[in-house]
Amino acid sequence: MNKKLLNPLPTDTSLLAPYTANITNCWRCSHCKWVPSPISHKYSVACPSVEWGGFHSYSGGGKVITAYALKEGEAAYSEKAIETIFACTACGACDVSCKTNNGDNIDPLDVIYALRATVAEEGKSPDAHKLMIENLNVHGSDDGLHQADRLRWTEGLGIQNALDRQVEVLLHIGYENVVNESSRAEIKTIVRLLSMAGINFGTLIGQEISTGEVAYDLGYPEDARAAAQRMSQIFNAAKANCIVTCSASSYSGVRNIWPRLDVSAPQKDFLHITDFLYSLVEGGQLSLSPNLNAKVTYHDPCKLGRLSEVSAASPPSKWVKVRNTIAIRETPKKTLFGTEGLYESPRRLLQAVKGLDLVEMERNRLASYCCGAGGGAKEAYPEFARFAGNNRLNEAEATGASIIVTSCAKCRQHLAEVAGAEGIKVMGLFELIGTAIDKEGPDAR
Amino acid sequence: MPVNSMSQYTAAKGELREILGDRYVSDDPAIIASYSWVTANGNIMSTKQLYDTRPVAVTLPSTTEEVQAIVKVCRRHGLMFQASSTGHSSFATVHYNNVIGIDLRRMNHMEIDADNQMAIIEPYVTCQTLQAEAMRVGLTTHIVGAGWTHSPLASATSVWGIGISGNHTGTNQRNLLGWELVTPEGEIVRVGSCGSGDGWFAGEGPGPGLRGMLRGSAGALSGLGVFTRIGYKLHPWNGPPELEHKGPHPQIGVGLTDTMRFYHPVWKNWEGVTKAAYDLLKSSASTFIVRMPPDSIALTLTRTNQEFIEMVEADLLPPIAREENNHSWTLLTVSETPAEAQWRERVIHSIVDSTGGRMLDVDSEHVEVMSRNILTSCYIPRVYRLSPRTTLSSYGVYESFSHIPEIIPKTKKMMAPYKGKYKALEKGSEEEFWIWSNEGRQVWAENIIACDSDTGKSLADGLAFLLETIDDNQENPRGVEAFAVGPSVDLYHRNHNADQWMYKVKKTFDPEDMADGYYPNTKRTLVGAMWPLFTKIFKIFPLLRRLILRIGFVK
Repeated sequence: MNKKLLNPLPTDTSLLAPYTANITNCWRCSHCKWVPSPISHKYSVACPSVEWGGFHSYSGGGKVITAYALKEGEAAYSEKAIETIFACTACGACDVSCKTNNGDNIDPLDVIYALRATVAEEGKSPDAHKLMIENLNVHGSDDGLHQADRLRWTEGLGIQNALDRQVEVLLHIGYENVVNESSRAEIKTIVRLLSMAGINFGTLIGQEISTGEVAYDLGYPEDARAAAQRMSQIFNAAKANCIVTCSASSYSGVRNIWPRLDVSAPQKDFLHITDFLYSLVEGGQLSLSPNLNAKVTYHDPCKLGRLSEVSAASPPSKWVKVRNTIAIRETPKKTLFGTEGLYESPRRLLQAVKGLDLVEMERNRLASYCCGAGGGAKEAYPEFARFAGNNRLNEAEATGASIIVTSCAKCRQHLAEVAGAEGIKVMGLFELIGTAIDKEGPDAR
Repeated sequence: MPVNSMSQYTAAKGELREILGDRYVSDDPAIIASYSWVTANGNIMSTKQLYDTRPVAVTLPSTTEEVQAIVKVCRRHGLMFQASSTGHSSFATVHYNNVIGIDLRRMNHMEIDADNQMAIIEPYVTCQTLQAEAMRVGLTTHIVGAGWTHSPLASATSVWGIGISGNHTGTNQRNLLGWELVTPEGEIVRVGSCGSGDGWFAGEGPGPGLRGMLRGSAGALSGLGVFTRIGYKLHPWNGPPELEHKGPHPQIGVGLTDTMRFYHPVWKNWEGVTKAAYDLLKSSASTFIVRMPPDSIALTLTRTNQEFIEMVEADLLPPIAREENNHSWTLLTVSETPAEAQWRERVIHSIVDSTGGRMLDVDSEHVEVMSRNILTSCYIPRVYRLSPRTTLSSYGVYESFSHIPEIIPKTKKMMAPYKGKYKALEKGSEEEFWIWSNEGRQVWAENIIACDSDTGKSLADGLAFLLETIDDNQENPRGVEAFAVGPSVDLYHRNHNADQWMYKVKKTFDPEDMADGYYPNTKRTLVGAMWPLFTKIFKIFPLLRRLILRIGFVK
């Protein structure tokens, strides 16, 4: 029996070894390249990476094959190989589409994570990623922003420190939310809405660091674990009943990546701000009905959508044969299909704005097309990131919308950069709500 | 066969980069590896995942003229070439060490001519998008077993071409209309009506007509040049302009409108199934007609193999997926009006009653999932998850429905030791026949062989069973020997001289064997010459074939 096709040889201790069967289960059906149910030819592609790179190796299935080739010494860590692996946002679209045919046989995203970690272990990561990790370890976030800069948004707002005082809600900001003025404006709108609803909240002033998912995306699970463990301790130390994060990235990190790192979830409810505020609207605690006559489309951030499903810690399991030839895991694992992402609350909040006409892009929810900002792709392969961003903006424009709204600071910033002054207007969800409230005057709620 | 040297490779790659740009030519081992992946089915039988031969380089042309330029470079430098579209399974795996891969991914233009019920498509258009666009104008497309993501151009020109919707959407031998080919000599040839500049509406003219010769039954299999554009027949669609996809991914179904209806009648025996089939075809009552083995239905109704196993072991399978209901047809009607839908329903009920059948109750969620899979042909790729490393197939009866009562029990008997005693094939249903009608007349009956190349033993036995069935079909011919293609042409097909014709076609169109593919080369192999003798020996000593294959695959 050639054990190498199903279970690794005992001597194989490589990071890819636990994924041997996942890799050999790929039968190159190519479904990873397209959304599960295309509506048109033009917007049928799921994977920005293969759309940009062209060769099969850029697709989810192609990366699975590359993983095998590198592991077996059939390919080298060439510049081109590295590009196929990292000119990719690890957005998970391939993973969702793959499951149409293959269930949990392959889990391409799991293989991609292990492949990235293998590259990093070999010291072959793109230089931009090495710098991001250095920043994370020195400054607590991959962007290298100093704490003082991160706190600038709090000036004059009288924000409470949830580490010192008991509060109802710990508002986790997310470092990507305070890098520029428009991001800070969004956070200020959130603060305003919480105040309007009478929520007693506090933040981790000066204590927030990365939740680790970016390091995990780049292939540095140990750095990710260190950051996640530290952040987990801080969360647990906070004197709050629940944690509400404004960061799509951290929402994904805590729910989806921490279990992979064996880092325990916070011992408090952990919600995204869109879910939390919509629950306040629904419960009548927050009246939100400003006017904005505009046709708007919503971009599902990968991190808030398909990448925010709660994963389960699943140590590598042996594959066994049943009914003669069917290979299944000896210990079943939770399969992530993309169905449990956070898709509806942002839409409900937008629909609460009077006059706003919400129109959908063809690729939405679990089939959302990545904007190109994540997974370290923008930092290492900016041309690819712009390509993906442009594609997404074109799709948004095709809906007839004048504004594309998203609920991830990274998506918003990247799309706005790509759109420039001439393109469709790009706004954060709370930037739009804030604008609508301001337009209506202080009584509009 | 072309010969070459390292200096020729280097010169050729330089020229290719000149033509296409650096970005669209790669000889990086990490890039070319994914063009040598050995998978579930295809032209390579191996227990290895990466096949030994790799393309020298892979190219990404965007126009027919660029394809032509690539072929000319290959000719100048003694290199072969092989084109691929989506690269489904292992069909694009190269067989020699001097082959330039041509990945046609950048050629994905489509144009629908709704009035003439056709489309003009390039190689990387996939069925899923062609169907989505066609439905908007009241048309749909044929989709072969490879599923939604395959290239209809590849299927129509190069690889078989039968699909579960075939009762309504025909077969790709005849869905192919005009076509454009870059020949192994580097010439751009347009055949059929487009050859005389009249558009793409017909495969056999006005203009030069060679469709049957190049396309044949099994397709050109990359061995006769590079197809770059075709006219492709579309079929009437009376359903909604956009399918309403329902249910949680991946158990996606489609909502049935008031003109769409689903039925799953069952009978006590194959005679009843067959009689009903003739009546159904004569009446044109059902738009789609397909029979799936119970195992395949169960796989379709579950998300993962784990779920499938749990349902089987807990005896929770719904009636539709149970072995006792295996004598079945699944019918989907799509009508223009509710009145027509009612007429179809009355006719179907009458046929089922008069042939001793009965309607099975099917859960509404399962109706939606199965209906979607019939319309999109996502069934078969989903069944592949059972044996992703090796799924073979046998028979492929391409003839009269009257063969059903004979062939299925016979196969069941032949398959029994492979499933039971040898434990080499998936335990599953006693037979694994997928059956449907092509163009409302011929039957297509294909028996799936689920094994696993993880053990050479399983792969060897799967192949032994396949060869056994081919031998059986040689002795008792039932239509075209559908799965004896590629190297098997050398071994079989003597009943109808197809092998002789294929050699002649190859010698005429590609005398220097420039095009690597699954099509036979110009020369017979020694094994091919000896095969009639081997077959006689295997008939006397039936276990010998299994033994030889096991020695070959189990290392």
